[in-house]
Amino acid sequence: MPSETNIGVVRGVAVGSYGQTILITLRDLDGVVQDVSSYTGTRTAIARPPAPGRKIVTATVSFNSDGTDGVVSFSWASGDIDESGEWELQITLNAASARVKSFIGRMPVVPALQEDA
Amino acid sequence: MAISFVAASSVRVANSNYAQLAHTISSGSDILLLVAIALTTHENRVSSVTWGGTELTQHHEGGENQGDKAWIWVGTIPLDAASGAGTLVVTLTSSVGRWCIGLCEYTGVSQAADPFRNSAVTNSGVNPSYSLATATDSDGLAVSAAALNSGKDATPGDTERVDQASASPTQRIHMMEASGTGSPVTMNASNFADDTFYVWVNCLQVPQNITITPAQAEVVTSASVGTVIEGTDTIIIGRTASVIATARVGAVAVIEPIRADLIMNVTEQ
Repeated sequence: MPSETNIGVVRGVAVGSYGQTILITLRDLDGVVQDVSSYTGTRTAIARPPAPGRKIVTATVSFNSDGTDGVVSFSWASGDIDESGEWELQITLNAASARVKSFIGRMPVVPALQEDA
Repeated sequence: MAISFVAASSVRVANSNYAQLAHTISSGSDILLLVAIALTTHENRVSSVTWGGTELTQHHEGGENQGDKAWIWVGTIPLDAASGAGTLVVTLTSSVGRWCIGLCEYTGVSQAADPFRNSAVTNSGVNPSYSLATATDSDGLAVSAAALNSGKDATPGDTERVDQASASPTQRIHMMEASGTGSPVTMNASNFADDTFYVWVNCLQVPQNITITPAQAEVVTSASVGTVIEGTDTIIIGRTASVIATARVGAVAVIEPIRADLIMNVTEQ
């Protein structure tokens, strides 16, 4: 079974941070790593800020290796993560004739002690 | 590796400011062409001397600075690992009635812009006989070139490689070398007349090796930021060499990725 502290929760993102690689292992409810290597179409990470009515931010998702190990990677761009709080996160993968989406995970964004320059 | 003579070529020219001299280069290494040109007067100067379109390096030009006297031009070009036929092209500032070109090919010579070790020795004079000795160098070969005019001649005392005369009244170019490396070159000249000859002498040197040794090279599999890695290499003067003497490990930051699991059903249950 995957670690309960990390199931569905992406920890470590702070407000104003960007460029840091985020590795997501995609598993089923039994904890089995999912082979997503056939999803060679558009792959996207979608995050919704906590404040109501705010637009989502997206990032391009890549296979960390070839997708057979269920691990995908992405990173946020500068300006994407601009408020602290409980963000929601979902991964969408596309194949030629299919689209799969992960459960919505949590991404608690840590506040910053001072504003970025 | 000692300096060795390979071959010589020469030509006489009449009433022209332009001449070509064909020569076939050997397939040896550290090749040097030594070229000497004898003119009638100092007023008609050498304008250009090329081999394969590349200008030779002029090492000396001089003579009796008056009237219709002997005048000499000496130049070289390194030709590392060159082979095959080529053409020396000489252009003067104006047409000269009678002039001569001599070319000597040597191997085992420094490929630097200045392949000579000792200072040039030049002389002209009126003595009917003349002996000229260079400072010797165990790694060098003393060479000499003499320009004579007005039909005069000389009998070199050492190994002669070029003796080229023009049409009468003759201009003449002699090119000589010492009997071996480390020996002086002499010209026991006879039949020299007044103010009619000019002699240039110098000493070719073998390629010079230097070693740069800031520190012994070592294999570095990992190093912290700012570490200076140094090595050794050998540079031969006159040859192109790429040397990496030092390398400083650059600052590379490694940031650990954020890791997490998300639930996604891809495989059928």
